[in-house]
Amino acid sequence: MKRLLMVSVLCLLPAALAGQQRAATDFRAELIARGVSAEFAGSAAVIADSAAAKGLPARPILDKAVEGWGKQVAAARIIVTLRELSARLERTRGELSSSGAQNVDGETLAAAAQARFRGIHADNVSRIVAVQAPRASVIAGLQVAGALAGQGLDQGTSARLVVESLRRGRTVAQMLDLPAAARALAAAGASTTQVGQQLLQGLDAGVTVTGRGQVGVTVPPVLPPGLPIKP
Amino acid sequence: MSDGEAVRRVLAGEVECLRVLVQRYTQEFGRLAEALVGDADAAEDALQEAFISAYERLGSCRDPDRFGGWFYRIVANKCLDAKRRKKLLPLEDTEVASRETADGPVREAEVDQLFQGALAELTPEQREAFVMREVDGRSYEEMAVLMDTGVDALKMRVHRARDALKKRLRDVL
Amino acid sequence: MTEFRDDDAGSEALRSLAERQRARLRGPQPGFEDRVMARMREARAPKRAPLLWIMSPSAVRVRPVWIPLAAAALLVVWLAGSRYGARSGSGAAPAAAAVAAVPGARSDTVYVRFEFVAPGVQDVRLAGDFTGWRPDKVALERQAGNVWVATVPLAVGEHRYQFVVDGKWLPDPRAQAVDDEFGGHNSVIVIGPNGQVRS
Repeated sequence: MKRLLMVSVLCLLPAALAGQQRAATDFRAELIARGVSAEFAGSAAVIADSAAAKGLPARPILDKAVEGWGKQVAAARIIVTLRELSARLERTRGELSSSGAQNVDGETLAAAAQARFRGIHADNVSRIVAVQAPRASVIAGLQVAGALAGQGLDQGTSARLVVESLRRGRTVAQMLDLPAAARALAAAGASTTQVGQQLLQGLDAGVTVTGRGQVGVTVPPVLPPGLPIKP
Repeated sequence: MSDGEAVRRVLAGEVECLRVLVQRYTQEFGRLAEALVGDADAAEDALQEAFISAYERLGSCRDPDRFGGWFYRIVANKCLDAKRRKKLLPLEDTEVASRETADGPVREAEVDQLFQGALAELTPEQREAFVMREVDGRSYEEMAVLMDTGVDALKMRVHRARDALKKRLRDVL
Repeated sequence: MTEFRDDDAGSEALRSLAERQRARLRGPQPGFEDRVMARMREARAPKRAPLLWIMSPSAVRVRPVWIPLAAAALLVVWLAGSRYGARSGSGAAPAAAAVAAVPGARSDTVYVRFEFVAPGVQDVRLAGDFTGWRPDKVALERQAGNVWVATVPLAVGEHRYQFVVDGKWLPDPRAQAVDDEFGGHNSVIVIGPNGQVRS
């Protein structure tokens, strides 16, 4: 029996804290509780507070501050990154708003900003956000689009795969298979264009789930047929 | 991260390592590209195209540790294409005010344009060598590495380029 | 050494002209590098070299059996508290029937096994969003074949991490990397609602 290494409670900090509006003193206290110095916590909390005051999610900023601190990055450098992150969140919100997506929640906005950072163009991020699908699916879709673009797939194709997956009622679990499928195809020698084409074909070969959570409806996997799967 | 390591990691799938090369070689070749093309915006486009082309063909870079020389060739070719696409006024049509009568800045701009035109008439190798040496200010040793040519041959090219330019620009120099 | 005499007036004037050109060079505008990187991501990726990960201090070879799977294939998952009991899976798709037949069944915590292969290192830690990015929370254990291992409970969702090898921060060569905005790269994995691990 393998010995499991127990990790501290901090590892299981729930994602439920996302998107909550909080005061600066709370941000500072949280940062200190998460291990940063009081002085740095003060500086970082100012940025988080400023973002929150604008209605932007503070969570990504707090997380980034803790990350930089843990990596022993110079405080001044971390602050620069936090400001850039805050600006990116604001910019992304503006882009979504321009495309008609108002009142996007904090977690979705954070995922959208991250997708932009990974190379998905504004119009394509907006397309993903605009699909009528559960919030968790849209967020997973944004992550998957970013992951596909990060692998070198054309950003438009990445976004299209996600939008089409969402429209066909693919579950989060199935969308999460896309980056792995893309890598498998690439490792087998397909160019990024071919990977995009084959994955899109794989979507078309699937069955649309007309209702969510219908027991007994079999949904084929998004992996194209013929791909070897290790049992 | 060395050039070689960056190239190998990109080929192994870490696309983000490209940024190291992009930063390094924008610094290294940005101004040279502008000097070769004679137009800042066109040169930026050419340099961008060179990066994309290099990325797509990265598998054919036989010696990743000598990425610079391999990439320079791609940059020079893209700059050559860009230079060819630029519409240059034929020298005969350009009004050249005489030394005595024209304003300083106006005359300077005209001479610069004539200079670009004269550069365009050199052979590509002469132009590259001349620009690298006289405009970009590189040493012959550096040039030899980038252009994969011996120092003596490069000096010859620069000399011939100078002769041709002096002849072409005789009236304005 | 060949010398060419270029000391006449014409050469002097030409030299000044060339210098004037040099003084006017502007170079690429701000944002150029970002624009290039953005286009790189859209471009056709080069044909990949055989999956040879160059890692200091030594190269790590990926065993051929993992190549068709491509995903961070050494992450093996046990579902905690699942009705189907402990199940180990790698990069393969989950059985389709299970996905549809158990709508909404989810486990909020999943045990994920991290592996790092490298000979000649003394200490391997894991740091990520689940350790507050502190490297003193999870130490990997060395096992046979220079394989270092740790198993960690993670919440469903996306996670970022790096290994800290003899004090040096390194991304996981088998996982997807993303710029960490501090000059390095984080590895990314996503824990799906049914416990599958993807990268």
